[in-house]
Amino acid sequence: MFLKMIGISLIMCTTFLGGGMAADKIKVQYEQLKYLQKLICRLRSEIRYAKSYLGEAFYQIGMAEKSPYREWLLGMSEQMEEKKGGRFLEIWEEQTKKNLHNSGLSKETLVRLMDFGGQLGGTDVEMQVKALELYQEEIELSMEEIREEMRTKMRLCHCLGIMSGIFVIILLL
Amino acid sequence: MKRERILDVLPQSIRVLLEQEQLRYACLQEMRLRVDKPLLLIYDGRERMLRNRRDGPYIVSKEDVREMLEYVSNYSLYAYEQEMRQGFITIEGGHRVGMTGQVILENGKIKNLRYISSINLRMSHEVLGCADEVFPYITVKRQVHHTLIISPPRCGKTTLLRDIVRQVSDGNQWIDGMVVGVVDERSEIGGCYKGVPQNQLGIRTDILDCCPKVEGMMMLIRSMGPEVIAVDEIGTTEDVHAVEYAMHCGCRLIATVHAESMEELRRRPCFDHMIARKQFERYILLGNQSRVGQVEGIFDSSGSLLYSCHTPAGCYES
Repeated sequence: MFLKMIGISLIMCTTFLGGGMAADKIKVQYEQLKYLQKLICRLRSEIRYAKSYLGEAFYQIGMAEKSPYREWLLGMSEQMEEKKGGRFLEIWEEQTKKNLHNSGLSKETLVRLMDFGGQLGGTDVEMQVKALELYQEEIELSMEEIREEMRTKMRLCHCLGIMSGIFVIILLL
Repeated sequence: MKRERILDVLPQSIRVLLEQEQLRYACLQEMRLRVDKPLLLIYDGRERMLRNRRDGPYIVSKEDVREMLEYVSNYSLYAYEQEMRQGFITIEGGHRVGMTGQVILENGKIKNLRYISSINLRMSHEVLGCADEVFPYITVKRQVHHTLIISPPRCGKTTLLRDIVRQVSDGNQWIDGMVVGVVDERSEIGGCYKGVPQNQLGIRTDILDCCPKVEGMMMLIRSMGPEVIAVDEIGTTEDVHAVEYAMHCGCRLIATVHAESMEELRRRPCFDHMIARKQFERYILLGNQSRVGQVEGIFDSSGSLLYSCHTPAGCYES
């Protein structure tokens, strides 16, 4: 009986933690989007007011940011400074895949972020700033969607964690 | 260093070809890339076609041009909006990248370029000591005269100006070192990278990079107290007025202008007035008949010949 009780508690703990982690993932995803939006805002300011080159802007922003965005931005800046060849989009995609795959951003956000690289480095400051603003709005929309569903989804994750635990226990008993 | 700077802005495929050619980069003057046309070099004064691995002419692709534009602009063409309007970008080392394509107009004025189809990379050449022969004529009592360098394009006026600046700043047997202010509107004199000149401009030189000449001269006078101001390619009435203003402020002026001869310069309204008032004390005329940068003649303020390359030096000295 004692062993059964320990087993039940272990299963309950595991499934509860699993549910909690799934709920956390949603929260992290939201926070990472918020962080990405802040970075895009800084990039827009660097381009609009300082007319910095992308490499310079990435370096300036990267130095003040936390991991993994720091590595992502500094990596791009370094690769661009080296001038060993490679188009901008290739550098952007390579560094995004390398540094941000474990950042907590969803797959869709990462794909959209990689595509967005194609809009950087254009011939016109105004156009560049507009592209960044549009992307910021896109992030804002994604954040709003997550925000609306976040509470429900998080509660659902917790409930599913507990329910699955109970289900497993019933099955085993 | 020069080799790296040039290779850095070229597309990968052309970099490989150039490496195989084993060129002397000091002799490379121009490189012309035109979409779907052979890649041409001006090497040691002659046109040369770069060959691919099959020994045919290397044909430049759209991708090559696009790739080169990314390198030239540090992946940020928007940062060169102003320069693109003029049709060229100056890169690290002072090399000029000219381009043509479809012009975007806004209110009848050029706003930008797109669909760029031709690129001309013109190398900047730093020739230390090329101004040695002119110093006896442009100095008096260890001071430099107001000097105007007159030259058609591609005759080395910027190269000569750069060496004059360096020697005036450092001082030499003809002159004591002076504080020189350089307004480098097109980054060709100093070849600045992040504000620091990559060419030798002397120990007493302050440089304003990418700054319009008129504003730049005023800024220098107010902020740095230069004894000599150097500017490249004056041409507009505003430029001439700014030069006159700087002269009235007690600065010595060294400038360059595009013209084939003294006569041609006199025919231009704003310069005619300036020559008549004898504001410049020396005129150096350059040519490229025997070699690039050949000093054809040096004239005084009234247009009298002091030196001619066709006559032994000193013959005309007044």
